[in-house]
Amino acid sequence: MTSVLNAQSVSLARRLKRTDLQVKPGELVAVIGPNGGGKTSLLRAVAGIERTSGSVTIAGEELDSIGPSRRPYRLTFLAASRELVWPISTRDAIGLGLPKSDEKRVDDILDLLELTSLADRPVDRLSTGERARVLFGRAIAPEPQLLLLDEPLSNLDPYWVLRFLEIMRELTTNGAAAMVALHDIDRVTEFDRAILVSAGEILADLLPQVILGSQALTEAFRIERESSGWKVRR
Amino acid sequence: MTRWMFHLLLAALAVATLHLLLPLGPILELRNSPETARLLLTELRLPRTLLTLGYGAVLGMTGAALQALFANPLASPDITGSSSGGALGAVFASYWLGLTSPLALAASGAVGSLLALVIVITLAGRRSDSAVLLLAGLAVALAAGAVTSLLLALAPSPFAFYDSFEWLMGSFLDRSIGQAAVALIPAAICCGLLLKRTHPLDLLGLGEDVMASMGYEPRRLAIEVVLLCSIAVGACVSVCGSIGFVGLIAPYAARLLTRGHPGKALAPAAAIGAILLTVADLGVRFGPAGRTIPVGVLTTVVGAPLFIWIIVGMRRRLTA
Repeated sequence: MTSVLNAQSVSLARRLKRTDLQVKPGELVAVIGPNGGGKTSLLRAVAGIERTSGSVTIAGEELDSIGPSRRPYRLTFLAASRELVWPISTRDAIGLGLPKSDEKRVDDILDLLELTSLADRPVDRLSTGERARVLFGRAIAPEPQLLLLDEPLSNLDPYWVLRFLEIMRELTTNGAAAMVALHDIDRVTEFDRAILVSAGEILADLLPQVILGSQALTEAFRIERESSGWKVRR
Repeated sequence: MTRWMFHLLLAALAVATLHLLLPLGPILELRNSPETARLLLTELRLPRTLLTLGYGAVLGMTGAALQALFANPLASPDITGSSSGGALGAVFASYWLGLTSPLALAASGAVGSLLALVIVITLAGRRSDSAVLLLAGLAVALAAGAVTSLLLALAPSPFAFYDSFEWLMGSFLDRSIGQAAVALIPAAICCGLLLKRTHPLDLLGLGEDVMASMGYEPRRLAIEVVLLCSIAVGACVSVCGSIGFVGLIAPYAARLLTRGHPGKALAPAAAIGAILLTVADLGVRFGPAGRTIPVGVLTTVVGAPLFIWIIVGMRRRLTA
């Protein structure tokens, strides 16, 4: 089966060491690691935003050869920032994710994310959580083969954390895949696979339950699991 | 074409017609000598009408492009020091290098404008907050203005200051069709190329990383926009001087029509800029008899309160 993502020797100067990574169709991959460890750098290098070396193919096609008219159908990237500079409407912000205007698709996304009543409201008049839904909607609108999401669950109330996880799962059932950077390590159990990134390199790439009990996680985060939960490692 | 864009173009055409024909008195007095009337219209008034429309469109469009690029509604050719840099380039070429060809002066204006923008970007960063951008723009505009004054004061010609005063303040008086062509042909090409960047400039509002992930190159776009804006503004400044606030107000008004989209605002901002500057120049024409108010002074008098209004609006939004 062709990998959705095949990254070979990708690196970013001083932030990400040479890394190989494959993601299969249907996989929901959590990317965890301490602050500044390289989660965002890994997503940025894979997304082609910045890369010092290496190559990335999406479904067998070289990423750099995919132009703007096709790129969003192959890959989308959601930044951790929830800021939008200009006060465009919710509807227009979601529409910006599509290379071609598609009102029907935008309406579907508005409906999916329960934003229909806010469709014409300028994004600067939305709460941070509502803006997070708008930006997530922009990222999923083109139904890309690979979703690269940086902290999509931040700023969300519990209902929307669960809904986002459901939606990501639904999207990957059709052969797409997602790499999701997370702060809340307890959420990794909702994923198929977990990658631990620290000091600019992948330290572990394991099943979620396995990674939670690993020595690598304990050392990277400087925490340890006890019967009552996570504790700071002394 | 949207309905409001059609209405804006109609309004621009109507204002241009009025600008060409008013005041009607001299044309009516020449009704018995049609050749002289034709010369009045084509040699004296037409270049001025074309320049007010064209320069206004350049200020509107470059203002919108710079605002989209800097992600900042306060960016404009005058606020970023681009206009002052253009004036400095043209003064240096004219009074110190002795260049007289309009094309050479336009090129010098473009280089000055480009240098000013590059310095502002170096000082403030491309996506700096409003305060830093304003301070960097203010510093460059003040420095360029001071150096321009110094160059004029020390120029070999003792009349340099007197000669250039009206031009420095922004004026369309007695410009020839040749001068209009030198300013407007490169400006029109640059504006056409800027229009092709409407969609990437809209996407820039999502952030540079997101835009890059969509297959665009933010750095390349920035270089292209700065270069195109500098050539267009520099060429116009070299012929008509520096004109303030049109490049700030027109994009602001245009974004009200494009529901906040900064890239889509390029075309309406050009139309609004053309209308504003042509109306301002009409106002100058009907000013006190025997006195000439430079059009740049009028746009500043009207634009400054609007500028303050925008800042108050931004402050309200930030503290809301």
